[in-house]
Amino acid sequence: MRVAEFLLGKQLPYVAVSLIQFATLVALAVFLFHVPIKGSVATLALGGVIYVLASTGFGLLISVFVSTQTAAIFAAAIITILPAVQFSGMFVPTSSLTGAGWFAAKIFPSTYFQSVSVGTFTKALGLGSLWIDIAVIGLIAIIYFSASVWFLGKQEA
Amino acid sequence: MARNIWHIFQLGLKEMVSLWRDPVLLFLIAYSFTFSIYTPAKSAVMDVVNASIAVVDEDDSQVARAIREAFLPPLFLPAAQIDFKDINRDMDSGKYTFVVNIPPRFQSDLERDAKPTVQIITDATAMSQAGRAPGYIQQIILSTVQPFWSGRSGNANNAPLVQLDTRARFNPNMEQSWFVAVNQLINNISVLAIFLTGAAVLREREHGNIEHLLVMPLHPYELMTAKIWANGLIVILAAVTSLFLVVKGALGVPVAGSVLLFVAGLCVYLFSVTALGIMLATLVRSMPQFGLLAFPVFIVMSLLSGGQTPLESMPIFLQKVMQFVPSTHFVSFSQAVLFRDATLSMVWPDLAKMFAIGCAYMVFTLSRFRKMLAAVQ
Repeated sequence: MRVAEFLLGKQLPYVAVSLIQFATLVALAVFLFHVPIKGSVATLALGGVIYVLASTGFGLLISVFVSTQTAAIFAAAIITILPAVQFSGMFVPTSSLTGAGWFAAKIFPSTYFQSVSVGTFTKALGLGSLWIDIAVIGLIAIIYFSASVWFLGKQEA
Repeated sequence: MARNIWHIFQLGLKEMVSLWRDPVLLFLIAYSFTFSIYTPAKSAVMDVVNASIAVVDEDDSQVARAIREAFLPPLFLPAAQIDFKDINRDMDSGKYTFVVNIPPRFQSDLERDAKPTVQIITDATAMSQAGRAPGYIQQIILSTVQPFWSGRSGNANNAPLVQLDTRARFNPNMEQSWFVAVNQLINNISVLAIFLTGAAVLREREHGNIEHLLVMPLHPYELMTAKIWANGLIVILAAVTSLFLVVKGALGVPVAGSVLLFVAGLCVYLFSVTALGIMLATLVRSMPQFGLLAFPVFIVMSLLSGGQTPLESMPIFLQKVMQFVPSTHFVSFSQAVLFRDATLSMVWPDLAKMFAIGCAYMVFTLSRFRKMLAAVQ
């Protein structure tokens, strides 16, 4: 079995779990909190799918590096919460970030997905304005996955 | 009794040795008490700091240039100049949070007292700045145009009826980074305590060590207490080092109160939050499940315990629910001790509540733990 197939097999169930979460959260926002999706629902969905691929890919990448499940779960918590909550633009606009915060915002996919979700929910945007963000998330997903394949392949050799 | 304490001590040492042999885990602990406290406090402050602003200058006049140059750090980044047609594009992409549109003939209208209008466009999705910054922008523009204005009418009538004299206590310059730093410290303490202890319990279980331990003359509570003291000690060491080196040292946050009292409170908090970690671990069957459960628990804790937004501004129901979460009391305890130099006589209710919550988790966990061990047998 090839390394890529093995990793994809590990990733896909969690992609499915995350997609269910994504759908649930969007439904909660729309029906419970009455936040209307003013822009393109299809763009939001496309962004969501690609973002889930990227974020589960990051999980894979972490697990390739660490030796224990404890370390993996802890690394995922410590490393991803900061860029996702503090630097993604959720509280503070990314245009106001400086230094390491700015850098973290640029290299983690949560920043780009934040602009997809804010763009489709409240700014009434569609693929025309958001395709760059979605493309960047896709690029990051590919980088995470290839890096995992490469590092795992090196370990086995 | 002495034998029990000896067991607990030995098991705790074993716990620390296994942590010491995991360089990735050690690196992550170091990371979470340095970088992940320093960087948010420095750059992700929920206030009008480094707000990005652009000016559309349709007047090309002296006063328009003066307005553009009046937006200064630390409140604003240097104002960019953009074309009218680019406003929508740049607002959509979030490049600028604020755009000030100065209309044609602005200076001449101002000089003949024709009350020209300046449009301020705000990206209201930038939650932390959208509310306050337009007020600042208005003040800046009004004081900048004052010298160019010819009108004499009305100024005397605009004098305020009541004179306000504001004094900010405990944080004279109202620096948000102080709160961000302490809040991040608390967040990382919680993450570390929950994940380290929870994962430690699951690790024993998944590696089948629990079966080994069961053959030995050990009680479940010995195992549990050992995990709490060992992981707790590591977190205390890391947190206190970080308080001195990062919060006080690198960030220059003045710690007003007693560090000793803070450490005492930290011990009580760790007791309750590690108990929470173990409780969560006994509710699940595997590490992935633990991750899926512990993440939302931690995120909700961190967002709702009063560090990000004051507890008083939350719905009453939520305020009551959050009373059962130890971090709520620890946030209020830490802010009181570190910023307001509170004494033990003022903060003991917080300590008592944290301790009570911890005991409740423990009792619940011990019953689960017995069942879990019984299931293994």
